[in-house]
Amino acid sequence: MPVGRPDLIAHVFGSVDWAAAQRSETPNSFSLGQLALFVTAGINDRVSVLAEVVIEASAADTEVTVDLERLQLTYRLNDQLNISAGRYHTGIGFYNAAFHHGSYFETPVGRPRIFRFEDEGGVLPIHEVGVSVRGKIPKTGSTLHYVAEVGNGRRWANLEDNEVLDQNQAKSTNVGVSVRPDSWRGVELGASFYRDDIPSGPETSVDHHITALYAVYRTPSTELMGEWLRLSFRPADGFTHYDDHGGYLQASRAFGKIRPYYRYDRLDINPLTPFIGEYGSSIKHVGGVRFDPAAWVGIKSQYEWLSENGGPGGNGVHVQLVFVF
Amino acid sequence: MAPNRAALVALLLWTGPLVPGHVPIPQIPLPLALAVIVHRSNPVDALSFGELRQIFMLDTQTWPHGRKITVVLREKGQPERADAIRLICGLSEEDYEKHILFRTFQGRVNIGPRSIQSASAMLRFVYSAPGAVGYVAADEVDGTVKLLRIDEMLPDDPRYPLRRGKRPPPEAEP
Repeated sequence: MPVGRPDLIAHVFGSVDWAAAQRSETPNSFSLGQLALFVTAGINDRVSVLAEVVIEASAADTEVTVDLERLQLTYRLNDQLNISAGRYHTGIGFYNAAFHHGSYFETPVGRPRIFRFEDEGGVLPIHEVGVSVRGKIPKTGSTLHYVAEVGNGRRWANLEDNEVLDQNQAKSTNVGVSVRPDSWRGVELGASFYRDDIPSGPETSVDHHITALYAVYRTPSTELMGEWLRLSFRPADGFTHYDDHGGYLQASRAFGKIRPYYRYDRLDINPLTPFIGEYGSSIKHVGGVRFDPAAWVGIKSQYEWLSENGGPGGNGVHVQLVFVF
Repeated sequence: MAPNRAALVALLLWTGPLVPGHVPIPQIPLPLALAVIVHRSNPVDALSFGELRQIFMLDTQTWPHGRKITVVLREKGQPERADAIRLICGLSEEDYEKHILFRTFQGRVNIGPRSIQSASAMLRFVYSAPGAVGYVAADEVDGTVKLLRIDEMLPDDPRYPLRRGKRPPPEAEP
């Protein structure tokens, strides 16, 4: 680099929401979304640092909570080997590693149910503290990519998602591979496999596996995305095991500044499943339109139909203003 | 051009092709072509169009010999920037900016493309940065930088893919 200055990039992602649901106990409300402060800097040609701090504010007052959602130090040897250490979004499936806390890049309002954040009733280890390695697989013409991660695993005993210390000696692992054919630009097919040993008592643990499969086609004008995940919990008694499922299908097409979209969102959870049984099952249909009136500003308006735990469905409306600066 | 050769060329233009089945390929003026340039010490001599697109989309960020790639574009708002993004990446300037920010937000990119004000400044930057890749109009290339072949073609080849006015390739991933 001929110029001897550090490269520092800073952006702020924000949103303002209005939502109304058919349920009488939920009044229609305005709210502030997450304000994500994103900073990345190249320390030198090979080493960079990334931080994402999220500020969440109450609509009623100025009380805020601050979370350090991502902090990664990355060493890039070449395109085949990128090593990151810190707190990161796990490479489970596609959505979690592609979309983070700033909702500007997401087409509909909100993440798919299966990828909801831990402190919002999420069922996955969305964040981990550990080491992540990713890159292109050599001799595949940039077509095959891999990811391998070792972390503390999700801290299930404390749903506040505190990963300061692991709860046991076992580390979580996640490996994934994806295919991005150069001749079919925008297409990505992939799979990942996550494993962790979760302590459920002083002497007992639950063997936890997550298998994810996905197919994605994304271009500036067209978006077709589908993911399916199986969450397996096997208590140490050896007699019971629970296999839960979740996923989504999403499609959108841009016509100039207007982009209609649809998402089918599903989560099937056995109520007896350890750790996540209480979160329940849901089916959700989302149909809406995104309008980008100016660069880095978007307005999403969507209709939602939600059925939880097999109950009758309810209607809802959600409008979100998203921006980046 | 000698008078007898000039007369022969004029005769050929007037009479059309003399060899059956052979149609002369019209020559396109050189300024319409974008020449891709790198530092003279860069061992790379040629790229496929797909490799070039991956570099400008920041999907490829290191040269085969390991050095970090620095992509250099003209400044925002300059037609030379929009032309290059459209020809190489198949994207509008706005979609390209979104793509770069999306990749940066994912943590896949830490240094985005550099912006340069003029062709002469582009040549000076590429001359001084061993990992840089940039572009100028084909008639602006000088000996301070290395000109890359794209799909085994140089800018004077009529089939050279980086020509302004040429139909853009299909849109690429965001």
